[in-house]
Amino acid sequence: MFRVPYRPALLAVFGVLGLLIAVAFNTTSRLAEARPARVSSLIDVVHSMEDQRDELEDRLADLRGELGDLERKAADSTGVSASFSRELDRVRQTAGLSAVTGPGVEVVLGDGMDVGAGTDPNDYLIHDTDIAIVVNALFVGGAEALEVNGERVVATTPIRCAGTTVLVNSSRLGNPYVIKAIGDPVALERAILEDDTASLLFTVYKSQLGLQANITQMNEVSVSGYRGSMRPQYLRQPDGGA
Amino acid sequence: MLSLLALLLALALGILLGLLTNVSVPVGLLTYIGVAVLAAIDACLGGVKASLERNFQDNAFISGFITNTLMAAFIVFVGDRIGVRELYLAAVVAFGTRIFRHLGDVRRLLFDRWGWG
Amino acid sequence: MTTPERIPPRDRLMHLRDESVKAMRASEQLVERSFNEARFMASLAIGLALVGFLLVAQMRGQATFSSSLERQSDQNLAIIIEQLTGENNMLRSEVARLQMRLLEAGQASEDRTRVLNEATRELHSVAVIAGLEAASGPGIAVTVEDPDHVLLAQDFVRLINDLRSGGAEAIAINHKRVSATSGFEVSRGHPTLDGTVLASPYEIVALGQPGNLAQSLTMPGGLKSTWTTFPGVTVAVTEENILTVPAADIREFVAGTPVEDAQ
Repeated sequence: MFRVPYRPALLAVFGVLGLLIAVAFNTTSRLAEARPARVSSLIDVVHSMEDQRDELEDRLADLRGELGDLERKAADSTGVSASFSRELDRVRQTAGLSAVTGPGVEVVLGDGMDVGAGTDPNDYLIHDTDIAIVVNALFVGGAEALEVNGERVVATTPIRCAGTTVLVNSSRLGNPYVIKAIGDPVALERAILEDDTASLLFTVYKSQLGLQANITQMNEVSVSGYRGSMRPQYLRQPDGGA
Repeated sequence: MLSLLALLLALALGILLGLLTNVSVPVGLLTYIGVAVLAAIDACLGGVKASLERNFQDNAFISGFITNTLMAAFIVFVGDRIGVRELYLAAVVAFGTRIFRHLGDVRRLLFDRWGWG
Repeated sequence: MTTPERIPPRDRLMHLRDESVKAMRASEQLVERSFNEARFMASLAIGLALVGFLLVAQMRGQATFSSSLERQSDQNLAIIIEQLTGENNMLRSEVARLQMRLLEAGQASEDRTRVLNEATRELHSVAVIAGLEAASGPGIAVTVEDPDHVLLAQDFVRLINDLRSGGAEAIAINHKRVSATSGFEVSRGHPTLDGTVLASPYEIVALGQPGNLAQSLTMPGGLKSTWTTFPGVTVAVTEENILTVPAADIREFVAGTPVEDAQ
């Protein structure tokens, strides 16, 4: 052990240091108690509502299946089976309610690595706008069906954000984002690379910020059906039907 | 004579006192406490170093600790007032550099004493 | 949120490199003086292992950064909750309605035509949302003037997403319906929607709850306040009781094959 000449002042400052550390600790732990409590109750709300949604979507899928069977049977017995089934399938496909397979592309977008303080962490994240721009380019390239992380994009699907969380339909999507699109693989890839904004992700941003951005042409891609509710609340047919 | 153990005991005593009385400060003053902690660490290491070099002077030690702390608090205050919140970083960097220099000196002095050099 | 400007952190990297070179020189001298080769290698290995560990930890942290709820502010959690509330209410009412229909269909199993009529009505309402049929209803009419052609494809993409976030059930621009698979391009300064050139002024019609739709564009920091800072661009939003959008030109599947009865 080392020994130094006895100095009360030195001893006192060590005591003061201890006191200060304890005060800082008390204050920060008080802070930590105060804030997350409120936030975590909101987080619980989100989790429970997401559970509810998943349950409701499962029920809805079951009911749609049962009702579909019943309707086909009814159509069979009245002799309009073929035309009714065809119409049913056509509408469901166009609306995005049924799953689709076919050739297409898989686009993967992932957050880059934050270099650290002094840079904007937002630069290294994939945003809702990045995804929306790529999705738009794929539709320009003739995509017939498209999903983002398993969420089918239909006519009412918003791609938006809440902070750093990307929301598609009402699902929170996590990094990395996998966009699957069905269509001519060559045309789809070309549409992305010819779009001034979308192509930046795959060239400049990818190399400079380390963003993950890859397009893979595929012989077979599966796109899931829309699981949510598709029921107009305000729309009518102009002639007064439905 | 004073052993390292006694210094650590004083430190522990201070922490215990703070935890038992559960003193805390308004959130806005947290930066001041943080800077004060750094000033105190700096003073402690500086004091140990001076002791080892056998040129420890009570007056210089205490006045150095107090003026450094006040100056640091003043910098934080000014930063708050002129809207440059990051000004406290100046104090953090200054104390940080000093702390590591003191630590290096203390280490070297101890090596000398124990014949490890 | 607008697309952030990404600044290459080159200056910072250069600085870091200079710093680390300096630190390396200093440690090299120290090492030569006081350590032998073997010791140096051992501590280097430990140091590198530590750096590797920290890198992996950092990457893990990054991976969970964007989707974790814990990182979100109250306002953003509120947005998520609001979205989920709407979705769950719609799901609940649709489940209730389907249960009712199933019950009726079971009871009236003799009355096949009623089941079919009901099914056909249902089919029509989906067809209306999907854009297979024209639609009318309450909503907003938005007139956007862009004489200097400053709006880009991404601006139109944002417009559509904002309207859909506001609960739009059908959207048309210049009497052309925006479907699920619609895409915007800007070629030679002229925006096109699914290959049809759109000319300014743009007449946008969105059907849904008028107040919510208007709010989604006019809220502070929203599309209207952003667009009106663009040179020459004006945005006028009016709420209407009855508006009409045409049916979309729906492309038939060429590449895709529907998976039958995925349920």
